[in-house]
Amino acid sequence: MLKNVISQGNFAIWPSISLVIFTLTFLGILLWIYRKNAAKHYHDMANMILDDDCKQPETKNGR
Amino acid sequence: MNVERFQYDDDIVRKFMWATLIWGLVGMLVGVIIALQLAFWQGNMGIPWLTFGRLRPLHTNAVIFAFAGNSIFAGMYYSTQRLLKTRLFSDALTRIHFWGWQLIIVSAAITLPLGYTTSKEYAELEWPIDIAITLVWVVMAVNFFGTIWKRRERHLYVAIWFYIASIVTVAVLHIVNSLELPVAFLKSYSLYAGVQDALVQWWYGHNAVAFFLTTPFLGMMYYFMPKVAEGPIYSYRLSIIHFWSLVFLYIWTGPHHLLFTALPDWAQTLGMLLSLMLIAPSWGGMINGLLTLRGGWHKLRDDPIIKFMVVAITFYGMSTFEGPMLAIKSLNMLTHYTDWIISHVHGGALGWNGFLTFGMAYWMIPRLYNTKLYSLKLANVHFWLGLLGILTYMISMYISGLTQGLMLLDFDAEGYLVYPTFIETVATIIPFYWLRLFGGVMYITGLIIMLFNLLKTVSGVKAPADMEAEAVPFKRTTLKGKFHYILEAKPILFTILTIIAVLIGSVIEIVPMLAIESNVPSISNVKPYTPLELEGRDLYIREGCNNCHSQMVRPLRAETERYGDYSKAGEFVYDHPFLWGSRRTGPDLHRIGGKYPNLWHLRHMEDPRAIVKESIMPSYAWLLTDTLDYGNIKAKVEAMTKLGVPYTEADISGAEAALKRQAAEIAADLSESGVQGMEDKEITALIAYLQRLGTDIKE
Repeated sequence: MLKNVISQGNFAIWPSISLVIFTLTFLGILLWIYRKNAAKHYHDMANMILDDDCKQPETKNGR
Repeated sequence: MNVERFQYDDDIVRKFMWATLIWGLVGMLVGVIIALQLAFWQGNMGIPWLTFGRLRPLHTNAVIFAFAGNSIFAGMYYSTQRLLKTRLFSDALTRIHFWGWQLIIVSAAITLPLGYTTSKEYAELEWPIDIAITLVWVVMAVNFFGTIWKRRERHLYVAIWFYIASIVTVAVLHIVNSLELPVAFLKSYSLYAGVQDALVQWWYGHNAVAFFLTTPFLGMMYYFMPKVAEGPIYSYRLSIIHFWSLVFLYIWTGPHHLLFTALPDWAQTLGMLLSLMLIAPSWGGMINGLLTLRGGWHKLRDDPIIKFMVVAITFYGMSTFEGPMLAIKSLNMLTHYTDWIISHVHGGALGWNGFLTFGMAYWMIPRLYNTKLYSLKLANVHFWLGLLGILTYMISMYISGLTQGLMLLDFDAEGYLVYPTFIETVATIIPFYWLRLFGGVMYITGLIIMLFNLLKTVSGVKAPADMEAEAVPFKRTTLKGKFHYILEAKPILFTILTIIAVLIGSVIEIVPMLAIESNVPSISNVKPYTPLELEGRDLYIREGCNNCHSQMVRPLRAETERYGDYSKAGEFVYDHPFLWGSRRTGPDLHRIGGKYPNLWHLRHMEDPRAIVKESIMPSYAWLLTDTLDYGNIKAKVEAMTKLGVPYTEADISGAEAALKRQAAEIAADLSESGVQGMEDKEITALIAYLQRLGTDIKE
């Protein structure tokens, strides 16, 4: 049945739907990751690495 | 507040770091030697254990498992302790891991040149060493997960995720691909045959690149790049997407090494598509690494460590763009089996793995010895020599690969091959082999300068005591928040999900290949090898012939015109292991059987230039003088029977007699041509095997 649906369905709209889903997902991910280290947990984790022996805070690189 | 004081185990990091550099020098030196041999065939000086076929696996194993391996362990142990705010789980396990791994490398350095090899790329080591690798890996895994267990930092940073993925996936890959049946102390046969063996091997082979040369290095990138840049990672959110999509997608891509082969088309297409999809997470990682330096690009002017890191990540980006492109069938048709692939892998190995390791070493060693780097100037010289070396190497191999690929596919207006003999294409690219050698020498010179610089850095400096640290232990309270926030604090669940992510692609590709018979259509004419052919096949493996010759005629007109009928899956059902090869330094051999008389093969092995004037193949004169050792032939035939090859009881008990009978026939034929006394020589077995190749379905 699954094979039928996939290969015999012959839905001309499938490629367009796939493209829309891909674009929306991609844009969603892009927006999400562009928020970088916003929110406390992400900020803490991203800065955790600088705790041990690095004395420079995040602003060092002009951010 | 309850603050606990503890010490990091820096001694082990120092040990692994020096092992990295020393083995790197050895591995790259072997690379330079075999590069010389391709340009100048006399480079092996007529010594069997210095021939290209035997040294090439040593080169790849040394740079992957000795250089990159030790580098991973150094970086992983350094960063894990600091990220988890604890000393490593067990000093004893750490030392067993270190010395065990070095012992494995020494075993490889001894056995591979002696011809003890399984022939499977990057998995050439024989079964006792495979077992040792498994044991040492388990020791390392226990030590690593033990360290996670006793951590003081509740959430696992992204670098730790990549280490987890590497450790569990390499274990799965190594065990599944190394399943073999021993027939003697250093001889075994793969459990899989032909097409199935090829799929399992390249599932392993490509994921050795993925989970040994990529994910652990990404873990190190996520730790050392922010350290060097002195700022946090660009986007922690991106690292989450990067990690899960990468580990899920990478595992599927192995079949792109087998495009146009006898592998079923569905598997090839799957490999190609998933390889293309892999661009996204790979570039996500590259962007995350490079943008960590945002606002600090000016540091590139003076800081050689940042230069090494940035160039390493750039090479990662280039390789992970080029890889998916090469996985497209229409480009793969041109590039596969050519030096283009050699260029591609060296971009990854020298650029990504090498430069990241160098950057890490320059950063870590002065800190591990509580001193300053001896010379920034020398580090800069190293950087430029290394970079120019890589570019010289890669560009020469691009030209070489493209030239040979185009020549091999070229037809004239009348429809004939423009270059019907393979050797014409080899002769054309020899100048590029010299250029590649030059690039390799530049790169290794840079490494020698680095070693000098670092030795001067630590000379007269006493290794300091382990670094003191303090941290607050975390309380195991209930966590509330988003899924990934909780997941990062649950290593067992995290590991299970990682295993599931890598198993999905593995199961979908491998299980149908092993379980569904129609994937390997049988051919009734195809019969098991005779005992003498089996011995000849083992000699073919011992000498590493598969490192230069493929046994896979692709269904392309240029190939069927040049070599004969294309190879079918059913022809390889008794091939434990498969010997399809991955690079054609010489022509394909799958249809060589019956093409030339026995004497041709004898003379060709004795002195290739006597037959093909411009040949760069080494002379294998010792095969004409060394006596064939067939002491294990009964055990070999028996082992093959256990693996499903349909030998009868009579075949097993009469193996030795059958071997002698066939050897006598070949020797008699050679004798008629004026060559006496070959019935007990190795060359006779090799001739028997070569004459059998591809003849089962030949008209």
